[in-house]
Amino acid sequence: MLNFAVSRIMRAFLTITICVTSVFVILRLAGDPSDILLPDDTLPEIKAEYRERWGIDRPMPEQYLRFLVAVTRGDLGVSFADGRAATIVVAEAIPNTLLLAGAALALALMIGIPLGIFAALKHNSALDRIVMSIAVLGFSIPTFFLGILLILLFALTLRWLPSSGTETWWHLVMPTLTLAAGLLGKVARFMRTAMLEVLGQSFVRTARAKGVPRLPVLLRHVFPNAAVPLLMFLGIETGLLFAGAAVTETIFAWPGVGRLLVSSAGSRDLPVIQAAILFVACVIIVCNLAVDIIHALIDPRIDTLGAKAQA
Amino acid sequence: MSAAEPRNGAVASAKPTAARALVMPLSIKLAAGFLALMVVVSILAPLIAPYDFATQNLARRLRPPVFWGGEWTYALGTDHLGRDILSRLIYGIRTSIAIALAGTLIGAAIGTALGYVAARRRGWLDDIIMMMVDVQAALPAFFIAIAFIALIGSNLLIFIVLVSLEGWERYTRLVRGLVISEQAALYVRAVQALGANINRVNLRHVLPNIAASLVVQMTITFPWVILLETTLSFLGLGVQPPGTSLGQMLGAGRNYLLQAWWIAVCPGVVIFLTTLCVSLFGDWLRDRLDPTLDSNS
Repeated sequence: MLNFAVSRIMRAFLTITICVTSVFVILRLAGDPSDILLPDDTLPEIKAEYRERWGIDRPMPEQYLRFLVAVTRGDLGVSFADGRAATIVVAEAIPNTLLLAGAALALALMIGIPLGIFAALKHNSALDRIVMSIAVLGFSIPTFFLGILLILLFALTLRWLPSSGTETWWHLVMPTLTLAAGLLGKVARFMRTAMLEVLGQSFVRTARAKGVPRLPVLLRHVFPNAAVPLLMFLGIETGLLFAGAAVTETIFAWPGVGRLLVSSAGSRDLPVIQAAILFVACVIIVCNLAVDIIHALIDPRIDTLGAKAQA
Repeated sequence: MSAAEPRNGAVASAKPTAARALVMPLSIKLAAGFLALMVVVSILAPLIAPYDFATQNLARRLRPPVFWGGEWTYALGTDHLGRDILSRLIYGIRTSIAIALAGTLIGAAIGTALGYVAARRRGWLDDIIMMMVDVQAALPAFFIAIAFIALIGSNLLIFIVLVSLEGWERYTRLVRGLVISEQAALYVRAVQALGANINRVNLRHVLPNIAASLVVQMTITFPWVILLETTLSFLGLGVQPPGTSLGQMLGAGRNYLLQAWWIAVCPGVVIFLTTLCVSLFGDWLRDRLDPTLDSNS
């Protein structure tokens, strides 16, 4: 188990290194970083000092090493917008993003899992079809369009909810609904498929045949086995959740990392973009790592010695 | 893949297979019809658009659509610059569909080629390609596209290549797995024993055998590519004015929700219906073409 965890952690580190390297490569492809990373009206002396500090005249491998050292120190440059360190600007936005993503994830799981279970238990009934139709609608509607429809209905027409900002808990309602809708549909559909697969297994039939009542069979055998693929699925969805959060935050003026990333991309505030992208990449990679390790802990079928069991 | 088989087998046996293969339910007919309409509209855009999509007329700005008290002159109303929304919608559909199709095809071609190379060469090349697959699978194309556009800037060509990043790793995984397993299949070894070159075997026998899975994967990827294009354009990072795309129209209409909701809602409805119809049609196609595919992946 320890070997498995260590090999997974090594892989996560390798992936993060690849992300950092990609940022470095893309930035060098774009040309002289002192032209790109500094505002246009920078004085020549400051530019020269910057080139000296980052060793831009030095050979590529040395530049790359300096970049790696700077990243590990959390030194990713200074925001053009207000002159503060890019990492601090991003760090201030992180709690808002985690709050929004956490609320949406909780909502999607609390509604999506029961819906999927009911649909699977009433397989091919009208209830099943209605739930699956709602699920398909949920993940077909683009996040930005759903957000705009909610603003039109609840903020502009009915005037029940605020459309932007973070002052009260009410401000969290519409962004959470917007971000949760797609995930909710996918969770319901995935849970239904996972349940149907487990319900068709022979150990379920055996348990029923030897006289175990329906509910204990569901609780003891079906749910735990259906939860494992759902966990893996959620690991894959983390990245998309953060992508959706970027859109949702922009629409509802929610001051999170995603909105920061989009607005910095618009104004080409490159140090902040670097920091935000690397933060998002790290969160996604760590979530996937956590899912892999939890999976190995709860599912004895994983070959933790070979460490290459699930490709 | 083998895990998916019993499940699909169980579902398939619920209905007679012969009837399932022939009958197209009403919902699928409607979805296919809508998609055909979208394709026709994008091909015929210059002929059927009543006005030029970029001509401004400030005297006629923010006119409502005909079902909201407007006139037939501007069937879907006008936007904040007095441009005809119907015409913009038609051209927006053209741009979005063209970009999404190009992106899907490029992604499929790159992903398939990499998967094939990985399966044929194995070794370190395989390791590197699968490493790239893992990185892409962890980090959505959305973030890579934003980073790239922000750091380097964008034009239409770069933008198409960036949206093609959506889902290429799926093709690589799929093709790699299928080619490896097909190459172990008896018929491939038989043809090889008869003296056929391995590349010829792959081209003539393996590729046709995995083509159905590739088509199915493309119906899964296409809506994602449309969503990526419209999302980036919505955020102002994709198609730039004076060009138009569905996402860009929606993004521009966002500032006029109170006075003129139709600017944003019209393109939004088209995007929603398109992704919905591709999903429905893709699901249906998947059941017929490739019963071994996991319908949720």
